[in-house]
Amino acid sequence: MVLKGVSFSLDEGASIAISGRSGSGKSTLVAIVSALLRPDTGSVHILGQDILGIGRAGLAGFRRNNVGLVFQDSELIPTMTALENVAFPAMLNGVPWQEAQRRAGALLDSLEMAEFESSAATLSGGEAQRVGIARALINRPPLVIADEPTASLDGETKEVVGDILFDQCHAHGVGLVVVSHDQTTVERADRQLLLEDGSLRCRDGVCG
Amino acid sequence: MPRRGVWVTTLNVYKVGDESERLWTWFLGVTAFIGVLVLNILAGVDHEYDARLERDAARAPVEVVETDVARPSGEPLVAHWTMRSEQIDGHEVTFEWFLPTGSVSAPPGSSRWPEAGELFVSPAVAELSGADVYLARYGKVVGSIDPIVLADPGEMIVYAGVDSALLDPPPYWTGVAGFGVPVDKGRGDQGFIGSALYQSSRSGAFLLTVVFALAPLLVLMVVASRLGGERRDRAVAVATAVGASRAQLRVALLRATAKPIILGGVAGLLVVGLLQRFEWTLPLAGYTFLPSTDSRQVVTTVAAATLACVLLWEVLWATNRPRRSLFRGPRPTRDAESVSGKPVLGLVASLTATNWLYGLFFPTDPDLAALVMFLGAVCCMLFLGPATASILVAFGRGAIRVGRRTSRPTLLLVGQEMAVMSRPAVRATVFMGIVGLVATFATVLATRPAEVFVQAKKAQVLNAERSFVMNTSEKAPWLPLLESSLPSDIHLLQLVGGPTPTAAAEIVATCATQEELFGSCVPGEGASAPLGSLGGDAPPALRLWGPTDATVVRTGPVGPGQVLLISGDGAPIDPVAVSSSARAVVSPVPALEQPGQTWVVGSAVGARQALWIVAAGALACLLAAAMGVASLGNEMVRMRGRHRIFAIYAGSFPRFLGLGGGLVGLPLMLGAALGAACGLLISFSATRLGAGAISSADSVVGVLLVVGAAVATAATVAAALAVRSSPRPR
Repeated sequence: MVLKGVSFSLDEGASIAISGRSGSGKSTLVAIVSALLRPDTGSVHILGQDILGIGRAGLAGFRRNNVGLVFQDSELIPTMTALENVAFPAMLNGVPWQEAQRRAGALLDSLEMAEFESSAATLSGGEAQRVGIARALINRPPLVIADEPTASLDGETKEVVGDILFDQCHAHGVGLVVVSHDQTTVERADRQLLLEDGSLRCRDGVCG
Repeated sequence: MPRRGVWVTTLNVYKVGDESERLWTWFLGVTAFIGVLVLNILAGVDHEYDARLERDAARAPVEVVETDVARPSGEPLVAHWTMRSEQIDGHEVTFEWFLPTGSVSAPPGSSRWPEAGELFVSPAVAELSGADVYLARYGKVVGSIDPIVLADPGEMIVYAGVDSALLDPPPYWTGVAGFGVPVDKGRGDQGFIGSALYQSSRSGAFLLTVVFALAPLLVLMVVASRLGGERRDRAVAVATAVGASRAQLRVALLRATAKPIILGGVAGLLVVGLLQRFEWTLPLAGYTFLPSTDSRQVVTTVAAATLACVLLWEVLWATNRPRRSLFRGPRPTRDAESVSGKPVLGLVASLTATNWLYGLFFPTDPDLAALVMFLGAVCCMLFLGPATASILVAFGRGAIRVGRRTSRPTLLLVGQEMAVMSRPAVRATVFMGIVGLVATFATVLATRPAEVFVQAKKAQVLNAERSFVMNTSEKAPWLPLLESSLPSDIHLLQLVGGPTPTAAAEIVATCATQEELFGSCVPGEGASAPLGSLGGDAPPALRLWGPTDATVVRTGPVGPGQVLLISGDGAPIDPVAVSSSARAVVSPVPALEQPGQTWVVGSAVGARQALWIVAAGALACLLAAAMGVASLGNEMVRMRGRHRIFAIYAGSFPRFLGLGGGLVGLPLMLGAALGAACGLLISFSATRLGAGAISSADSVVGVLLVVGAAVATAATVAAALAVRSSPRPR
């Protein structure tokens, strides 16, 4: 058993940082909270819903509407443009292309991305992560989960992307759960938790 | 103490430890297995070719030639011998006539010499439909020829005895001093490669095997070697960058691949060894392999297996060694920017040129025409991939526009993948296209009727049993005797050659016969009259008698030395009765041919050649299908990694089906349809000019289309499931 009775709450627009040693179960926790993984036992309640009772297709809809995901490697679709990558989850949610394009453009503008029509495969790491953040916000979810969002970036870019992630979530009133090893990123969160021996506790006795 | 140098054990750059590696090693084993089988069949065909030449030489009569310095005159004469070919049930049967005079007890394979009116037949002749009725023209079957002396178990020969008192004079007869001549390996281009292509050339067989077996095998090896190659390339690039030598990398590759290749090779060797213990026939082709007792073949088998494994390993190294391009620019380029419509033009140009060249060479050199067609097929295979990619790019651009206009995210994604990644997407498609091309090409060639055969069939039907051509010498002294012994309503006409082929051709017939058939008898020297004097538009071709004037048809000229038997009252002629009358006046009895029979034989030969084409095509299809499955498996692994976001957000299964159908099913169907169209178009001239044989290809092509659709549907569902089960990103 990797996780034992893990539970935490998050206010609208607030942020939580979770850190821990390699193999401590951070990614497993993120996958469960993102409704990407079902635990062997126990129950999972997110935003008041028991997600274990939702079917496969329903879970995808739950994710589209309620959870924005930011990954370490961006996970952009390389054949699509930056704009299309951002607009894609909105289109999957039934938003017409014109509206999805408008929303995506506005988000990318706010992230200071100029080249909307650039292929995702040609973006730098920092640019790709900005597009990933915009994609997580396109459906205006109440919760964004970021798994090591700055781990692949250099020092300066790391700071810029961290700023964007926290500022955007705060500006949109979105709760943010960020899993990271990076001290700077962790310290920016409203609350800081440490995952150890399968349980969450306040980091250095300080819960923010 | 750690080992150093090229045998360092820690260099496992070719082991990336994922699903693609398992697929890679599994397919390497299968490829080694197929390679050993294919190379051994090729070696076996060559070995059997030589064995057939040896068996044929051992049965060949040793002619007594006075001027032959190597064979002194005075050598004892054991028999007079002559041979000719006749057609029974559309098959060519060799008749060998013997008049024994010497001490040799029997011709090879029979228990004794056949006496007058006696026949010994090979097993394949005895199995022919209508053989008993046909052979009754010449006598009674009293025994069979031992198959051990036959070049091929399906060889069709008859030993017949003659009446010494009624011998037809020379040049029919040859003196024979015995049997068994040295093998003439230089005769390779006139040897035997099977009962189907009985006397086709070794070079023809070589061409067939190169196009249909070796080339697809090499492509299969390349495809199997490159499965999941992108990840290995990165690992190799890193290893090279930190100082790994080429020798170390070769050893590392050998360590990673030796086990599956050896296992596959040994499995192939076991199957080959098993096959060599039994008599078996190559499906469809009719090529029979006899159990081998030749120890040299063990060496050949092991050598072919080793060669297959070494060849595969060299292909592996050539396709997985360090590449400088990996160290160049990190940003990929979009395929759409480099894909043009030129390959489509190339494909159209190949098809046009092949048809034009085939039509140009077919009347003068059918072998060259066949080579043109095979090369055309190879060109089509080369252009098929790029042309399909071009079409997919165009389709992708359209899908992007429609996807945006109708707000369909799946269609937008499919369009972008097509437009940007058309080349990787087209890999499996190309093999599907090759399957379609080869299968259709072989099927069409094997099944479309040719005009000449249709026409010949009509001639045969119209003249059925009312006229026969008797092959004999130009001056056959026994002809008047034969005519007098035949029923009065059967007339004989003989065409006698003159100084030029057309002007001086004459019919020799009694005046009564001329009056009966042509309504007049031109008075002249004896019973002969110039053919042109018979009135009307009579050319040096004869009008053959039919039931009514309306069904009279024209056939090719009856050549000098041939006699035409015509039914005066339109009633069928009984060839057995005619032959019985002939047996009383001449020996051997002249052969009777129905007009049009030559075309029937041509048709039968075409059908047997078609069987070879189908057999070779089936092998090529099998290899292409194996390549397609390998490539498709690789594509599934790639799709699982590439479309994780789609798997997270898409939700309903129809969306996954849409993605699978757009990225896999549709390109596969496009490739198959394009391949099938190429197969049909490349065979167009050949079919029109008469290279096919059997009735219709429609049903076979229909089955191919259904199979193609089923494969595309299955691949669509597999792709949908693969993407839906995509591993979650970290």
